[in-house]
Amino acid sequence: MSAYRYGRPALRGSVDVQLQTAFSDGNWNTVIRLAAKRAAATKDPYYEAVKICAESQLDGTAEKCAVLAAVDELVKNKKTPDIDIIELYEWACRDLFNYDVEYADTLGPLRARWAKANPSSPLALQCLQACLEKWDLVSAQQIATTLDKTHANTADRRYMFWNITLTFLLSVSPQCTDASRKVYSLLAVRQLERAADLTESSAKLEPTDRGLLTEEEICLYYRVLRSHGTKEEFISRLQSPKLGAISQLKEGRKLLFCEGLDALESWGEWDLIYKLCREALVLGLEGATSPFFVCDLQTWRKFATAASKTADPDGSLAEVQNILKRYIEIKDKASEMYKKNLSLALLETTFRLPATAVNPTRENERLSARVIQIGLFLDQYFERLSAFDDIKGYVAELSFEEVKALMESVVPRILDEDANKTRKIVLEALSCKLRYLLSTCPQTLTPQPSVVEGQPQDKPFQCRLCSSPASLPCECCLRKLILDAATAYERITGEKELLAAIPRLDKDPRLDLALVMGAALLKLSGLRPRTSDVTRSLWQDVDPGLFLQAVLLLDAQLKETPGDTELRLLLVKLYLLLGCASYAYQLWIPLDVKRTIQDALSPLFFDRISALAPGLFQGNRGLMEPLRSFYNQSLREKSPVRIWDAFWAGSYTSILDMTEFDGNLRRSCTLMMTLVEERRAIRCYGGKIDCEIEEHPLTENIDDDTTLVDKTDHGPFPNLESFHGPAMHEFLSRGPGLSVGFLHPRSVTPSSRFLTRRRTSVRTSPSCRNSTSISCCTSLPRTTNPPPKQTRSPCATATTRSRRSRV
Amino acid sequence: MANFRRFRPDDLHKLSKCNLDPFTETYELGFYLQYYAKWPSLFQVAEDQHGNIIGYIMGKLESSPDVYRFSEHYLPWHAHITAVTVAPEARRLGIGRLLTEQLEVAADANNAWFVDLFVRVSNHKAIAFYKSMGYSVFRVVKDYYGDHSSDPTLSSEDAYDMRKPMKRDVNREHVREDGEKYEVDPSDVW
Repeated sequence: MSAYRYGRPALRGSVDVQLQTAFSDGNWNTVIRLAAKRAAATKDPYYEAVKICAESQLDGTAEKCAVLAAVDELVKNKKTPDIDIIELYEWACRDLFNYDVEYADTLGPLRARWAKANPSSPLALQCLQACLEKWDLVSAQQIATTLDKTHANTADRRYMFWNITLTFLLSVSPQCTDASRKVYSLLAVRQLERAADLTESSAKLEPTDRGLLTEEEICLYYRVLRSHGTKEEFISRLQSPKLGAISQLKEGRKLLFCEGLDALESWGEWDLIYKLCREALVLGLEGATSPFFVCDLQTWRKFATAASKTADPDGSLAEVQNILKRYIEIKDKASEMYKKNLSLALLETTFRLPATAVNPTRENERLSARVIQIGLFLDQYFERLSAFDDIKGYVAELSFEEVKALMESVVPRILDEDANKTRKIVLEALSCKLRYLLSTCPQTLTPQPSVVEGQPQDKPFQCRLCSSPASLPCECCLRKLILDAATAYERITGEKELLAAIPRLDKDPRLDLALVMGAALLKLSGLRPRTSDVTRSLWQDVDPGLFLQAVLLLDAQLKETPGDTELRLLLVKLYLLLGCASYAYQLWIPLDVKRTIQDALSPLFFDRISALAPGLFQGNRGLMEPLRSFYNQSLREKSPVRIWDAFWAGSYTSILDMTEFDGNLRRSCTLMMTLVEERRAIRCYGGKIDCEIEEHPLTENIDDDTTLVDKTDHGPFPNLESFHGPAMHEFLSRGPGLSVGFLHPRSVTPSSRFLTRRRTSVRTSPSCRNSTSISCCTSLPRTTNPPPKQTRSPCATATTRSRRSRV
Repeated sequence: MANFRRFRPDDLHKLSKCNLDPFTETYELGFYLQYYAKWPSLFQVAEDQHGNIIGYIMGKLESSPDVYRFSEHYLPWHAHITAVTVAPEARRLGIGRLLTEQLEVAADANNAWFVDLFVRVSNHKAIAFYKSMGYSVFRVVKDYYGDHSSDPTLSSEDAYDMRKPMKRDVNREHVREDGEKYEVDPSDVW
């Protein structure tokens, strides 16, 4: 019988043409009649199964469900069923598995029973595949164990590792009973340990040996060990001569090295990280691997950090510098990427050195080694688009004296007086970004007494840069920065030579300057992250004039540089804050967020959009259709997408990662947001909900105890802020981020299914022609809150009234 | 600035720097996971210090189905570059070259005869890039693309099938000097 899963099954070859034709034509009444006749004549239960299968295709409930009774009887009967009958019944039940029929209680055990009785048959493999695709791990593990025993001494190593992988997957799955969990855990670990021991003790391993041979097999061992073994075992094996990270690197395999470092970091084993990084980096210098094989920034960072945490940090950091120096000597052979990594590694090392080592005599504190290294880095890379991101973390670590030295002595001298204008303006734009960054750093401020000469002071600090009384940030510095950036901007637009040079640059300096001005204006407007008191109107704290000035400035810049996604996203969020959802949507569309990236990026626009502009959902646009389609397609099966491909290819770490990814996607905050927003918008207009959230097939695995997963990607936002404060995207939020509380089923159950209480002036504004804006400019709470005070927004004044609506 | 490592599914939540670029296509989930499931060593990423993916390459290992064995268009065991992309902010650092070299190492480790790829004949920059890496045109696939990248009045565009021999092809049996002269139809390309 051919595989049924992609269509109607073919009947056995021995079945007569008349019945075959009726079955393939879907002529079910004829099939029932003919199959009944054949069953009576031959006494072959197969024909009875064909009849039941055909009956299941009829409209009557009793006929449809007859197949369930037949399956149930097979399960209870301990005999081995016919595989052709199993396949027929599985096809007949295909639509019932999403409802009341558990594969793991019905067809799964039947397939396992058949595979155990026929382990050498190629169809046993199909049984494994079928159970995996229905994510019946109990039956799949049993079949895999049987197959492993049957094929124990063959060169196809997959049977052994399918067995181990499934035993491990079962041990961490909710499908495993608590009583069995420990047994399966031990089983997986012990089998792999035996394999590891065999590898360690064998001079050469043959494919038929039950040891660890491939990179995937070895990494599977470490994954299982990390989950179920002890830390000591993991560390000991990681240093072993055959299965250790270094020996794997020598074979050109980097995965274990990366995963080993991650594990050691999670345990705080810095001495071992230091040792492992040193050995790995020396391998490259000695020619045991290609020279820059492990020269990733992550390796250098971990190496330097680990060195600073050893018992002898001075000596260890000297060793880091020594190895780094050896790499710098051969950097001419390296690609630009690795040269840059080495430059950043130098910076990293310098910043991890103890203060006494950097400047033992504490002379010339301003022009410290740290400042000099930043200067040297900028000498090479200030024109690169990523230059600011590369150094901003280090600049934010500098002391005030060092900051002064950097901004007054180093940055201005990167270029000579006679350098060309274009390079000068790029440097000026970078300098403006650094000035903004410093305005977010507390070391630029000194605390101020609250009362001076009997006068209470309203600013808690004094700015060390401009000496003005300040809060964080210093408004005086920001205002001066805006003027300087505007002057630079005007200089560019006023000079044809500069404008002509822009296409040859990594990034348009006007864009950087506009971002600096926009960000500074937003800060001056009083915009701050809104995470708690979301009922308070934005405009009680924010100066609308300055806010709108920032928006207009950035919007004008977008007209000049429409392809810049960072700026576009920033504006999308700003217009959402303003309540202009329709215009925000127009800006959002060209980003073309579709298919796989929707789960990470859609919340940037759609989060709480129904409360802001339910009108966007009106008409035939199917606002959430792409998202719904993505989840329907990706979560259609109970198994992770493409999981059988990974089993077939022997990609064991892929299996584990794909399983974890699938589990997270099924608990995605964005998935819940999709369902919640759509339903809220429908209810806003009194529409009918086809299916409540808790009954929706996509929420099948979500209950009150489920922890939802927020994977929103804020990476594409511009971020000029230092690590001392919140990132830029937090300033643009209309309330708390996607949260477990708001999106959780218990928050949207009928008893608590209320729209957040809020001002709901439903109106159509000329500026939001396609959307019905609800109380523009309010921040939108995630949970039921007391009604906010009435406020006037800068872009709309509206009558307000409290309203409780169903979600 | 960058780390090179194998792709992992969670990277799909960090693709924005690459995939918001209009020249990078975003595929269905199953497409990415198929590559990760079958050929994980040929799916490599470059990430920045914040974990954002700033470049990636997807490749596969395959040969033509056996029924084509005696066809002149039969492809023996080889690696194929399906997609390679680098985020705008990370360009001109050689990341594309490094990712391609890593895929070639994986191709050699899997005993492939050659690595091949398709590129629009109008994409001179990419063609020059691949030539600098040792790739050469093996054949021209007529009307391979259903649109034209620079001329909206045209409904199709040819592709170059470019190849680079791997260590297994000691005698360079699977590359040719004058591939631009060999034209085939899309139906000949498996």
